[in-house]
Amino acid sequence: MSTSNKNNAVAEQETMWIADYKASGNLALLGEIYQPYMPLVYGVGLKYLKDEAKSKDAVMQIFEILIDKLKTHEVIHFKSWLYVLSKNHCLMQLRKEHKNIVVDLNEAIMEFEPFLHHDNAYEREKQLITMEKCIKKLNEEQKVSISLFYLEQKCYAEVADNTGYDINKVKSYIQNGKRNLKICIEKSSE
Amino acid sequence: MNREIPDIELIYKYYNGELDAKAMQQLEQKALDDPFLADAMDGFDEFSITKITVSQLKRNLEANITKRQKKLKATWGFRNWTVAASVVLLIGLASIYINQTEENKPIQVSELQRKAGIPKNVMPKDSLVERQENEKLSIMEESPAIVGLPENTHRGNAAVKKNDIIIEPHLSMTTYADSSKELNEVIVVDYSSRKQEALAKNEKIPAKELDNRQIQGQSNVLKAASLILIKGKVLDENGKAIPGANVLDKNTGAVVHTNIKGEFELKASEKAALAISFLGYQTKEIKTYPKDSLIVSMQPAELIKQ
Repeated sequence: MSTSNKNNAVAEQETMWIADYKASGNLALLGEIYQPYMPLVYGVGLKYLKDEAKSKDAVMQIFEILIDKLKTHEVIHFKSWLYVLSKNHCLMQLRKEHKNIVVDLNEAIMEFEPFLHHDNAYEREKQLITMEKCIKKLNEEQKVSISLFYLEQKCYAEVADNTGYDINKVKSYIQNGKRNLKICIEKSSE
Repeated sequence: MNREIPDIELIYKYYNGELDAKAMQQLEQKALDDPFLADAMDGFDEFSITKITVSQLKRNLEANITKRQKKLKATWGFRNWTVAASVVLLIGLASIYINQTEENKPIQVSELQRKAGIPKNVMPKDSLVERQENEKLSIMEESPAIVGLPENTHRGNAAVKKNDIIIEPHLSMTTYADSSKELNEVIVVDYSSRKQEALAKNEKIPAKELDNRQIQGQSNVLKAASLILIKGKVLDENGKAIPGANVLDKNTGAVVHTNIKGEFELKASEKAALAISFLGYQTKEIKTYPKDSLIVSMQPAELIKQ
């Protein structure tokens, strides 16, 4: 709960700063807002552009886009908005370069919500039961990886060590398994 | 997507292998819930993330911001310069104006005096003003009204010797507050007779010049004479003289006492404020004006109730 409160406080301050920036056009303030996200934007750049220099450029270009767009757009959820903006910017750039890179539209692009967000013990219990059922429905790799990762809280490397799977495979199993679980839980709760 | 900004330090540590398994799992789990972080970490998996890179990004950002701010100032600055220039110009003009007025002040004052003096020079034509002036003059002690003119010691004598520019003494020094009518008559008669005489004798003394001299004298007197002799009498409620009453000039602090007839004399400025007091009577405060007949009647003080 304390982290979510902190998150809310951060988000509130961010919203306030954005409103201030809209009013004042103060670039230093915009820099303050953007700076914490720069490594993430850089990472997104690396993922899609596959080039460090281009990614660094992209970080600056996205900042320049922000200067105007943040003034005109009603941004409620800055982080999500920035993520979409960053990704779109990278994809647009790829298109400009006429590179037909197959973008892996994997699970990571889809939005994930922590699926245990109810505090109600009864609801939680019910969901856990549902989840257990759903986990059983997963294929073996996903089931093992998910169990180790979520229930035993082992990191990817440990999961890989324990199971002998490749670490990248482990990541993929967990991501896919999580998506399947979510679908399964949503279906069964309907 | 949660709104938490991922801790970049944690990400460095993750890739440097500085985190324990549990912390790694937590970050991985966060990434699973946060596509932004997940994408970024995919990128970092493939390449790397170092503090150097991040600080480079920060420097780029700062450089970009300052560059833009400078640009903003440059376009903005032109307007500012014009504003600043006009402010400087205004200050300059204001300081010139202020300096000028300071230098000109004495000139202006003297001009004023001169202007004020002009009507005085003309005024003798106006008998009323002349009379007023002379009235004032008449009650001045040791009046130098006849400055520059030979003084005639013949008292009350309107006779004028030939070839002499003689001014009739306005009044004897002891007739301070006496009837001004008489005085005026004297002056006027004297004046006209002198004039007549001047004409008759072809002295070629322009009347105006004469007037000027006289008026000059008078104005000098007015300037110099701050003290006049005030005479008065203090009476009780029944009209009987009060001897020994205190008369205080509030301006100078001088105190005189009434004589046995209740009379007093006091040298004071033209508009003196007097306080007359006597034991058993209410203190009376009066302001004097030239020519005031000062008969002060005192009221007995109210008995103090016991």
